[in-house]
Amino acid sequence: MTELLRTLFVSTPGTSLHLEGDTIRIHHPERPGRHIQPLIRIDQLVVWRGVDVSDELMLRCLADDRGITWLSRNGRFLGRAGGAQLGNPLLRLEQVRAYDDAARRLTIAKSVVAGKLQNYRQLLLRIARDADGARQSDIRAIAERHAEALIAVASCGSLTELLGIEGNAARAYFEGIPLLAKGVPPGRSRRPPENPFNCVLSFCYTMLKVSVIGALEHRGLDPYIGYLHGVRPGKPSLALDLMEELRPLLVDRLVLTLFNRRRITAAHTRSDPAGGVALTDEGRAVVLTEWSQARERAWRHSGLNRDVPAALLPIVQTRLFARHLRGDEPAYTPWIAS
Amino acid sequence: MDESAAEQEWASIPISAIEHFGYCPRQAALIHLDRYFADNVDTQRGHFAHEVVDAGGPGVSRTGVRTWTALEVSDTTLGVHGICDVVEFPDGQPIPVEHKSGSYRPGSAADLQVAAQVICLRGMFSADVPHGVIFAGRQRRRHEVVVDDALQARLRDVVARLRAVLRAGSLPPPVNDRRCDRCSLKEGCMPDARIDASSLFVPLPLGRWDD
Repeated sequence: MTELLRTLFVSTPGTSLHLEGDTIRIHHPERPGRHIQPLIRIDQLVVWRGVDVSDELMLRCLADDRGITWLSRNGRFLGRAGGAQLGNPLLRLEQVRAYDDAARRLTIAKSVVAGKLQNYRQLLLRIARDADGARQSDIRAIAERHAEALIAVASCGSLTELLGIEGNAARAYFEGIPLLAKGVPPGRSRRPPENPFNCVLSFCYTMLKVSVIGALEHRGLDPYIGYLHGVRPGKPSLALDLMEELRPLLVDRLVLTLFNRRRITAAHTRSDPAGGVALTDEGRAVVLTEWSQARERAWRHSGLNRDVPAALLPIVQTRLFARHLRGDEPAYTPWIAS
Repeated sequence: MDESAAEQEWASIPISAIEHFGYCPRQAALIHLDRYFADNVDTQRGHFAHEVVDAGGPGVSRTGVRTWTALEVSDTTLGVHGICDVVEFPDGQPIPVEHKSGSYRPGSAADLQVAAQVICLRGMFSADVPHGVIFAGRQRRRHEVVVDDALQARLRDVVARLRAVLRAGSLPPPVNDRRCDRCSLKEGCMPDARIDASSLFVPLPLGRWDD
């Protein structure tokens, strides 16, 4: 029985983590008392630069297949330790063969985009249901664009064409952001994010990326060889592929809620002179608390005919993906909210 | 696939896979091909029961018999290798004792597992080894398993079928029956998954998911 385990996020600089029996002892000079977390309830550690992980704790985590991910102060992915290489190397060969085969590559990329479009449409239709007047019809119009894009994807014959369809749908969505979150400017900006909304969005995408990379490595797949996102050094393309279907409801919906409920305010972010926006320490703590709660929420999985917590969806989908690669399933079926 | 790495790899197969295969061929493939494993109450009980015998090395049993725990054995003719929980040497002759946390059922895959150990020990010690022993933790009883021609023939057949599954490199279909209820790998095996890609590109109406 797989238990829903927690990710331990530690971002405060100066914190050190130690192994104490079967627990993690969290120490910070300015935080008195003994703080421990049982290892058995934790599936992975995500630590920001400036947090010290003791050798003994690291080795214990590696022995137990408990991944450790390091992020920069700005939340950029620095690296991950995951113990011995897991999974079946034959699967990785098959992963490369599928990449080299243009038809297989396109088929997988199409599934990935379809999953993304379906779930963005779910998100839009859900928000439209509670909206009224012009706002409702405007949101439904974007959902309609996604429906048309889906139909175009079905008959699309090349990766370039597919990327075009996907790009247009994404643009329509991000232009419509003010309809979905009051007072948030339209458009998507990254590197750096130019407003708090995009900043929190990027931060949560990184959190999702960490869990998808973890799931892929755990399954023995190479996160850097993807199909829609291709292969580029330093780009975890397969993780980005599998994130597409998960982004709308696991990240976007959460971030929209955070802004609509004013859980994130101006005090949680700060701008630099070049116009980039970053989370403050307090803002990061708020987002991580909400993210951790959202990970526990159960979602219906129609393929498995049962509920799956958000935190386990990357693992479940990675398994289904591996099965398709190996020929055990004729297609890769993304998770679609139902 | 002709002479691939996978085929050479399975020239020798782990004895533990025999019992997994006996329970469910897909379980054996998930553990030994996919390197997937998960624990449940039954497997945890097994781990605890094994703590003593996993230590490895020489010892003396309560009845004064010389023993060796966690002994690595193999047989190239049958093409198997594994670890015997305990090997006892009552008269200098080895007898494998396989520890099971549950009850013993005659004719089950455990018989095949201990038979494979007997075959290994016969070759490695040039000894007769007429039988092996299964210690059933639930009843705290020892059961003798005589390794005769019939059991050896069954073992050879199972090893050949298991090797074919491992060499094929793909998962056998799920059994999806009562075995799944007690299987610790159910979560990752997903025996009842219905993969339906037919509606993937059809714009779906708003689902029933809610906040």
